[in-house]
Amino acid sequence: MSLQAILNFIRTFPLELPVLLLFLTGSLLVLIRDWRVSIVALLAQYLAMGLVLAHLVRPEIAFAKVLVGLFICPMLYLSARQAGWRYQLTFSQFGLRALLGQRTLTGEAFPPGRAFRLILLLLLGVTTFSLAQTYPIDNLPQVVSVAVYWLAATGLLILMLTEESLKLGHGMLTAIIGFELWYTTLEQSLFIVGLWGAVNLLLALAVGYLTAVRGVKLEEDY
Amino acid sequence: MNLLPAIGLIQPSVLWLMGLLLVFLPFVYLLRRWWLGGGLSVLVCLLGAYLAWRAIPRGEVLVIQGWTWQYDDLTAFSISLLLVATACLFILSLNTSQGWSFYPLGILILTLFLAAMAVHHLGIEALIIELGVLLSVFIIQGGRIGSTRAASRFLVMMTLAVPFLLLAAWQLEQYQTNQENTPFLSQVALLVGGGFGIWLGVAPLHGWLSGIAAEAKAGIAAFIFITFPCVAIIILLKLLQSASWLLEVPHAVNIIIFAGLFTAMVGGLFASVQRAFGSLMGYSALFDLGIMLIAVGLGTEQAGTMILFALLVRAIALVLIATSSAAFESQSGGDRFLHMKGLARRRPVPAIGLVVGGLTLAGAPFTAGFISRWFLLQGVASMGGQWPLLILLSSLGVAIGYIRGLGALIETPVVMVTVPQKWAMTVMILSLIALCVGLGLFPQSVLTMMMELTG
Repeated sequence: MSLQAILNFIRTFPLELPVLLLFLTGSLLVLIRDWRVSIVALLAQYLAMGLVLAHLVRPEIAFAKVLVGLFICPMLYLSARQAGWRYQLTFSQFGLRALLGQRTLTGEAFPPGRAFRLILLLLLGVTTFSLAQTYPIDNLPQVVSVAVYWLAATGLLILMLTEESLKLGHGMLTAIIGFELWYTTLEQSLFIVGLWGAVNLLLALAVGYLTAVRGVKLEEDY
Repeated sequence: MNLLPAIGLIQPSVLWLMGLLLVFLPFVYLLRRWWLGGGLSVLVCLLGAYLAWRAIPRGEVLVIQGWTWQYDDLTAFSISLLLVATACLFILSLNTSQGWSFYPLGILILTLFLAAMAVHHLGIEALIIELGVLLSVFIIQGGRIGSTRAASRFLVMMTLAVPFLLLAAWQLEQYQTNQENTPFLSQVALLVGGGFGIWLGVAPLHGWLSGIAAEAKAGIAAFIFITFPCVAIIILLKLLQSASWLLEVPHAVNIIIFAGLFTAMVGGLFASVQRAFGSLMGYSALFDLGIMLIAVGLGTEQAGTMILFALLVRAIALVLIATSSAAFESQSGGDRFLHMKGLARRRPVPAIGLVVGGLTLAGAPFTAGFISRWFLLQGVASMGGQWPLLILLSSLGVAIGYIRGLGALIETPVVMVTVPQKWAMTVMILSLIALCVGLGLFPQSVLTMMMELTG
């Protein structure tokens, strides 16, 4: 199957589908603290970005962006493994309740921190839609404008809510993906795309390093 | 094909200098754990500084992949300054280790900064500096297990600046093609202001600066406080030279001056209440940064000269403070005033170094820092109001911080382990003290050189 055929196939998807995926992954990154789920969500975010960009820019640029994501996620995975990051689900906890509430001393499905994050996400969603309607981004379809605002906002939210290096990395990369959705349509010089890719890879390396040196730590208050 | 023009490889050019620094990098990396690696790093930096200042012709334009690279006077001055300052910090590291990775990564970061200052595109400059930021994370953390607050803050804040600057670069390109679109002006000014504000650590965006001051080793903190603001200021000056209309945007000049004033006030205020030399250095550097920002806002030709002079003085003062602080830390095991009680009685030279460096950053009379402060006070006085008084009070805050530190250093001695003095550090501290005082008393020749550079 040629690249053109793959591209044509991808373009048959409506643009709303990957945008919906971006909403889902952004929410997961805010709500879930299991590092494996977070990394899978980040990977899905890169794939969704590639699907959106395939509609907007040259296919090789969209492919390069996804490729960078495919390198970044294993780097973060290995660092988290090495650090022995403890926010992970055991087999018995794997369920909707575990995904939403995770282990808590009181056994509440929605501990206060989680409810706070959920409400924040709802507020952010409404703000995002309002922003995209009031200040639509000139050269982007409305639905992509919403995604750009959403990713930038959730990325910043993650940065505000955590001090963990790995989570900080997720926040930065999410905000960057949002920015890239916009900036890639403005600037398609291969030199800048390459440099931007190098920045992303080195960013993941730096986050991985900080995650590894931070090591095992006390559980974060949610 | 216009990949690497042959002229850039044959004749001395900015690529030539970058190549030279990179050629030594593998050897420095392999030898970094031995004395030889540090010695080689010092030599590479000094050789690079000599070539940057004397051998590389200025004004030559290279076009690589459609991007213009030019090695001009400002780039020559700043990269020479950074290389010499880094060589001094490498000497410090040879005596009191600042981390093995400091040598190779320090040289690599400076090479990236050279590229960033030579290329004429704000977006590429931002991305190259971001690469430098990402490499700096490794030396700030320096393998320390536990808290990653300093490195994380630095990483997050600097990365957040990049989108602002990339969009500003794109808007600037748009403005070149459509100069009648006036709404662009305020948008570009906003983006440039946001990006540089975060980059420089303008208050209240200075969290990374205080984090590094508190957690990183003295030499590494000085390296970050010297190099990043210097490169950011030089790029800002070049941008304002090529797009002078940015300063004509309504209130732009006032915003820059008031941001500088606020930063200087925050720096001065917090410096006066610090209890450790590391964080005191951080807030003094913040105060100094605010002062430079005010000079940028004044925007006169004389201001350009003073900014270059202030960059030179800042580098000397910070290296002096870091070296003196490190000399004490090797004895006391920490940089808190509490741990250093009575040390000045046994080691007077680093104590004098700390105070002279601090007073230089504060802009006290008879130190090199006074020259730029005097000019600045005159400039700000012409604006009316009580603004000069604010600068003076902030300066006083920094001076009080160092006088409090001196008070702790000359208190009744406490029992401590005696570590032999290292002559190289003592010689370096004495030389830097002489420079701080000498430039304060006889600044004319250096000022004339700066005037020629900004001419």
